[in-house]
Amino acid sequence: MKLKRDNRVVILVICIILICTVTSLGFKTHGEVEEIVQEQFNEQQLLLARQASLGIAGFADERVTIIEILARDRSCDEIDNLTRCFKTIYEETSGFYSIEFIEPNGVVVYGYPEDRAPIGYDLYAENRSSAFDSARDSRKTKISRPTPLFEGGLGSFIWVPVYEGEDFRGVILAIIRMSTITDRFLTPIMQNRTGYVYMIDHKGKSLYDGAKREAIGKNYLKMLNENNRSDGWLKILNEQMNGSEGTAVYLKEGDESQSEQIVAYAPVRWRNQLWSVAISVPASEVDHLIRSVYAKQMIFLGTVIAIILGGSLGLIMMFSRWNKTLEAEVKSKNADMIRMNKELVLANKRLKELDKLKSDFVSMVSHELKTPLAAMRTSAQVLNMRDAGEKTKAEMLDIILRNIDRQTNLVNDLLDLSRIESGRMKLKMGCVSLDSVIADSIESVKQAAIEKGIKLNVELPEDISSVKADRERLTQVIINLLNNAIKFTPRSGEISIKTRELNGQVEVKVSDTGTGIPAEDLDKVFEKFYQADSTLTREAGGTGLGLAICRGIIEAHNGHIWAESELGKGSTFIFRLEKWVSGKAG
Amino acid sequence: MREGKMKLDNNDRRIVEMLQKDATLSYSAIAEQLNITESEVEKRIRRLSDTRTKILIVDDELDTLLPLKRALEMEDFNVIEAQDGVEALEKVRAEIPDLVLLDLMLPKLNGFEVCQQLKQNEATSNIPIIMLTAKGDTSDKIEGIEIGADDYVTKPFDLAELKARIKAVLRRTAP
Repeated sequence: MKLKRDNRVVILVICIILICTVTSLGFKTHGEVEEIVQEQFNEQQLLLARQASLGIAGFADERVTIIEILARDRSCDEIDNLTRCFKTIYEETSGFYSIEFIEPNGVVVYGYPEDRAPIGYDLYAENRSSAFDSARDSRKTKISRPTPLFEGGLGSFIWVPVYEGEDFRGVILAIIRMSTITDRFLTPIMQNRTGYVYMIDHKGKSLYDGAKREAIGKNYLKMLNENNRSDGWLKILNEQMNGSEGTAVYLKEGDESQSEQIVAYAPVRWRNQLWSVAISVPASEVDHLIRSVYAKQMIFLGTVIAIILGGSLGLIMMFSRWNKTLEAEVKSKNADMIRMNKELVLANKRLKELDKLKSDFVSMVSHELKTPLAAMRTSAQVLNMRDAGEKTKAEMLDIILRNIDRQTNLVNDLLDLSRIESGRMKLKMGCVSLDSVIADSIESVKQAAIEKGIKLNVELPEDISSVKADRERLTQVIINLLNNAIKFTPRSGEISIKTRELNGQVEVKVSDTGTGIPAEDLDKVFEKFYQADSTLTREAGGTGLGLAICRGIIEAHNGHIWAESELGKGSTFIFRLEKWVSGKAG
Repeated sequence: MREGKMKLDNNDRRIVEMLQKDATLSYSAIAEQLNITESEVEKRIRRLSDTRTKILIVDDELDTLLPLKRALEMEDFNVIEAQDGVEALEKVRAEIPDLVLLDLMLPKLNGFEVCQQLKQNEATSNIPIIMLTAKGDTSDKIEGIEIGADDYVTKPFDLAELKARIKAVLRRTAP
């Protein structure tokens, strides 16, 4: 009992240790996975940002280059040519809002599309000539910070000076709307994703904000100063304004709750302009990702476990069924074996019994054959003796003759028995009338009965049917039964022989008033040499085979013979034979 | 006759005593004293004075017993007979034979049992027994010898041989 409790404690402790190990391993793995996923995620965000920024820079630079080529190639041309080219460029390349030509005096003289060109607008008059001047003086393309357009939205102004030799001919002003760029490069990034994209210029002004459209054009730094919050983001914005790239995390303070944001940012370098694209995604996205990975893993694991468990269960069930079938088979085989063994033991016992019966029979037969021989031999030797008197000689001759008869009878009986047992007894079947057979039988035993003072009663119904039998054999049976009865009936006893019909059969009953047979021996009396060693049998000249022969004969007739007895009152031997049916021989 | 035989020993002894005291005592005087008939006394004295060797033949087959009896009588043996085991025991006790020829297959008590009882009883254990049987099994012979039979003869036997064996056994066991 104590040992059991100890065992339980040990098992519990082992379980707890295992659970702790598994849990800590799980946590550690989770941490590592989170780190890796985070890293991958950041990398991906950064790549996206970089791709967007490169796209923007490329796009914008391409536009500038086109205008610059135009400015250089057409610098010697007429203004008319220039303006024709504007149309071609506008139509062939997408992205321009408008292309204008400004005379050296600062007046817009032409633009395409014409409805967007403020023809006659005087930069000097409006005091907005600084970019124009800068381009003219530096002889280089000047790109001004995105500024609000008259029509709304931000626009990027590209000032390309046109020189013909040393002669300043004017400036081509190309305007690209910010929205054209952002729609093309930034908006698609966040489609179907959580988070948003924004872009700032080097002063912190918002060029695009996927989350807050109204913020576009405003300065984030100013907004932050006003709200006085989001330190983390400020740092990021500063980094962005420096032209760095990377990823960072900050705590975004929303209206109601805080949320961690992962920001990946990459600079857009476009000539003198420095912008920065940033993709801001809530950190929960990573968890979400991890969770989705876990969920998939769980589904996979679950499926695998289910398959394994199901398979194992199936296998176990299959095996147990096999086992059961096998067990049942083994059991039945075993039962068969036991049964067969029993049968064998029984058969063996029977064989041994048969063997013993046989050897007993042989020993009995040899005894029965030797006994009369011994009598004859001794008698003959006595006869041969010189001093044997006449009386003795007669006595001896008598003995010799009697024993010759006895041995003859025995040999006949043995032959009968052998025929019966080997089924070689030939029956001459015919219609046998019982009264004549019984009369013959009585005739032959009469003398013996009279000698013993035994009364013979015959009860024979007059109309008793004939039986189908071998007359000689049937007579032999009845004589045997009568002799038997006479043998075992004391002096002045009575023997009766009765017949009756029943169910197509005829029954013959021989009763005596002898000593009777014990119930357990009723069947044995039909065995060979039963009571053969009794003096009574010898005295009556029997061989001990009579009843065995009777049974053999009756059974060869398809009849039945049995004995009934009451100890002290007498025995009855009964046999039944088939009735003779006329017209049916054989 | 049977009842007379039951008192036989006693009467015999008294007859012997009387004759020892007075050898001239007449049969009628003895008969008077013992309250039996004169012929009875005569018979008893004849038997008592019979000095022949007494052989008891035990066999249930009269046809076997009778020729043997006649042959042995011709050899001048005093032959008495018994037809079953119980009678054999009674006869041995009453007559004290010099030899028993014992058949094996006997009603009531078989030859082995008779032999065993005779050999176990001190009064009869020194009476030689020759087994006679139609069974020739060696195991039967061995059993017979083991329980004290002095010889074993199988039927059918040669009369001369049997007589020789009887004489041999008698010589061997003579006091």
